[in-house]
Amino acid sequence: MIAQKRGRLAKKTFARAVAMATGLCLAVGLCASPGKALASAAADSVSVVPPGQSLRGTEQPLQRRASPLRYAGRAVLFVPYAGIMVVAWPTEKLIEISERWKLNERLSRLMVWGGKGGQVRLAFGYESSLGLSIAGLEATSDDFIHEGATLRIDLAYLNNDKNLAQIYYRSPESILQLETFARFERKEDRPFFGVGPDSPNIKYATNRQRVVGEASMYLRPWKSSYVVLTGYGRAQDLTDPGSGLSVRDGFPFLFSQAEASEYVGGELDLVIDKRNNGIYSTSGAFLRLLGGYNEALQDADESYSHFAAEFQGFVNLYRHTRSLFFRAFVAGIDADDLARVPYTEWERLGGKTGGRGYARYRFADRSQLLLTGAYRYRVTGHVQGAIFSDWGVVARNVEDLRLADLDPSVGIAIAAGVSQARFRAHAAYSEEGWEFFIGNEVLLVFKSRRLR
Amino acid sequence: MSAAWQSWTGKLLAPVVLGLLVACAGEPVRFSDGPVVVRIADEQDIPEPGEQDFWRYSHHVNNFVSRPARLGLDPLPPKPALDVNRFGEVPSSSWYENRTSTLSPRDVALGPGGGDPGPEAFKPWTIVGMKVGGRNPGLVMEDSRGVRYICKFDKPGEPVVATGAGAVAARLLWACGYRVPDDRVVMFQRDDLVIGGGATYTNHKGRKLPVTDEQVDEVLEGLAARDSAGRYRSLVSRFLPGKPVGGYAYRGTRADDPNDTIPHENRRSLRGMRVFGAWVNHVDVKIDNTLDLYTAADGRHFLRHYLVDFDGCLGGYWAARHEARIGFAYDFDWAEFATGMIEFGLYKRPYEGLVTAGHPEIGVFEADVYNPATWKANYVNDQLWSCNPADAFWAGTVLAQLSEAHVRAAVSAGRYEDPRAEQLLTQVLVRRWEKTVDWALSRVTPVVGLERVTVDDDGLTISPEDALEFFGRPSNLRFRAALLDVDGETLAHWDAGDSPEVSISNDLLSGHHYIVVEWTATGPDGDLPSTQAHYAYGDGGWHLVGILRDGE
Repeated sequence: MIAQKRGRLAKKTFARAVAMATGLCLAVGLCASPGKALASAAADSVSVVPPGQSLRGTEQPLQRRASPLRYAGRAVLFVPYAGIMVVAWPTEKLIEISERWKLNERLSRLMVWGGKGGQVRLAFGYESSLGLSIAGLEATSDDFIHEGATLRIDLAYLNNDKNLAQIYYRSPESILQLETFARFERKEDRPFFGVGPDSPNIKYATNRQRVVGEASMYLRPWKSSYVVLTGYGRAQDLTDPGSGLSVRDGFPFLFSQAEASEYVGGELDLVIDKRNNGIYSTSGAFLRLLGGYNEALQDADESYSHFAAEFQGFVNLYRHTRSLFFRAFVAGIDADDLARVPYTEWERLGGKTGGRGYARYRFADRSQLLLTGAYRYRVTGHVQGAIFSDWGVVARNVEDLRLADLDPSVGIAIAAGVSQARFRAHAAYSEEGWEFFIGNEVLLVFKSRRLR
Repeated sequence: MSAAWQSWTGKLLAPVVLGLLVACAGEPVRFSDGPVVVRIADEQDIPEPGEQDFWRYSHHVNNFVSRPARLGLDPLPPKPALDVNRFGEVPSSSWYENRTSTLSPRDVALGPGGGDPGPEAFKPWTIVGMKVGGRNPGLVMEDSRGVRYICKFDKPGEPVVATGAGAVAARLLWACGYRVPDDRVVMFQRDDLVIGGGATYTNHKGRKLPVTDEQVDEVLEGLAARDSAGRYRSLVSRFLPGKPVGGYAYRGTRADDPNDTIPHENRRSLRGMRVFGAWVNHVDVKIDNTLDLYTAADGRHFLRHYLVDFDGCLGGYWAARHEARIGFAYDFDWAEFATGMIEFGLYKRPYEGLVTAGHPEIGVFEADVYNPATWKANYVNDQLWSCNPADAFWAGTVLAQLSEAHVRAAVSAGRYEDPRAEQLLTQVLVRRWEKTVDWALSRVTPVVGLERVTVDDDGLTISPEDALEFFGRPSNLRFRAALLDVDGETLAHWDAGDSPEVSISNDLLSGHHYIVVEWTATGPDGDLPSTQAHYAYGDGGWHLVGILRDGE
């Protein structure tokens, strides 16, 4: 073998001579170096090779060295890897195709005609008390006619929740800002659990379709405070559900005397928002006070006034990576005859946004109190975890809301967010069992009295 | 058993069987005698390649899910680097230039622009394009010579940090051998800017409109920091020669570049960025911060490969994001995610207490908590992930050739307003340099000078040095060595003590024309992976034919 190698060396003599000439030139440069040159600079035999030629000079290609255990581990880990890629690869490719063909922008531009193409987002969610909700589509243009003006169109088929079409416009942010939307929605089997001690746990349902329109005027005299004056109108039609107990059967007085209700109204909101910015707030406070009046257009319904107060406080425990969160929310309605206010106008508790641990719409009455406390912590970049507890109660009158009657729940939550999308999941436990939610940001929810 | 099941079983078992075969093969590596390659002639004439697209959102999914899964669930070590000569060094190529040992501090201060005075000597500047709105507004301008530059500015509220970092880091990475553009900090007055006749910007509806004075004023007032004399401050990057055809991929080769024959993840020159990047905190190592240029020289057309955009280095990325984890955790870090879910925030991560370096012109860039072994870029990157001990050692030897004088020279290019900022940044960089060099050189048994062979009547003496001592770093290593024959059989071994020098008697050499000496160093934490030097007898004497360090 050594003899063979010597033979090869002899054949390379000429090549080495040429290489040495090149090397000398390089060596001159390296000798002028002020630094500490290493082996190759000191070598007397250097060469230039075209790409693809072996550089290493070994008789056999170098192989990576690994124990059989590692190869076996690789075979085992291929299974979870394949599982991840089954989901990730098509997603990646779909997004790539969307970017390559500007599908997002084209679709957005098509939906929000006249504006620069913005975002098109899909909504999905799974809530254990409602089932899977999927295929909400939201297109937004942030430069509709005027730079900074937002036009948004939502189309959604959210199974067991809401099927809706909505158009929303907001003018560029300034001292005086306008906002308006029109919305049609249809909801099947909207549950109602009954009220009072007689039958609180029996689930009734109704089908509802509704048209809502509203226009708001934002006055922003200060940086972190604003006043909102809103006028709105809504009409809804209620019918018996396809199956199960109808609300009409159990509580004919709740269904309103007619099978439809129509309200117009106005509301004044005062908001002081001193939360810190960012995907997740970790310090500051938020206060919202609102009150309004709702005029029934049908004789069978009762006109009523409503009010709500909400306070959120954040205590930064450590460098905005751990914080405490407190929320107190109280709301109620008042009417000459509370019994004639349709139950769809009532306050409700339960579900993914309030009273977690209880089914959606689990509690409903004409006033509510909800207290929330949470410890929030940074998990990793873009992800925040939380341990929370909700305490809620509903009652016919505000003065009947008692702390002793609060129904507690506890849970853990996780939220992940980037500028384009946010996801949230929680598992909450109450005396009625576990409730789970996972989904992206609640795109289609307006936390508004008008959308009761 | 179904055919499909058999097929899948075969696919799963194939790597196991292959692995067993490879592991059991055990044939020792031998070097053929020959020249040391110092340059890869990968600048052969090629047809113009197409532009490589970069899809931002798809890339994010790849960053956060696919790539971490592919690399994190593969327990095999990376393959040995391929752009390496027989001594384990990286030959110069269109990717990398061995220039570090030739550079004086003045060279580093001048950077890739060399003696060019830059655009400040050639005013006024003509604005030829502009980017308004978005995340990184800026200008494209030509100086009075007609040389074109991109002008970038600091983040609002963080003057000097990113522009200074961009100029300094570009010089340091250039000094380490990478191709980078001529980035420099410039000062100018509003009157130095004139709007060119064809200068346009794209408005919010995607329409191209002429640039106006009001828009220029808006960008400058909104972004550009001013020095004490009231001059605006900008980081300008000279347009690179050639036609840009996109960045280079994390792995694989470029199909339309015949010169690109080595998968990028197997290039030691790119893997070494794990070490250089840690030093300067180059966390934003992603495809669109690299650039291939179709360049012409000597009648040939070929691609040259550049790194671009260094304003996120040092404390620059922190200035944009204000996140303490920068350099310590990925943008989305699965390991942190897994532990964070069960820690409930009770564990304080080492980086969470970080404060600014002590000067607002630097941002968060420090050397106390910094640990090169655990440093992370923003994203999982195939090249950085594949950096094995041998790659790190090579990068360590390159980095070690720089000195405090080089660092000070590079920092001077940042044109910091306050001399204390310059001093502080130099101190931090030097301390990080020390930590990085010590770590990188200690990834394997650090011996250099393996070619020093003397033959006398008693036999052969090989006189390498402890690489740490060679580069002036403290070392308390003890060395032992073993002599192997061509078939890998051990002939003798020595406890060489503080010095790795070994003498081999003629008796041991008798009958052998190829020997391997394997050094193993013992440090405070135990044995370091060994380094093998292969020697062949020829032309009347013994000479070094190859070096293998652990990981190869």
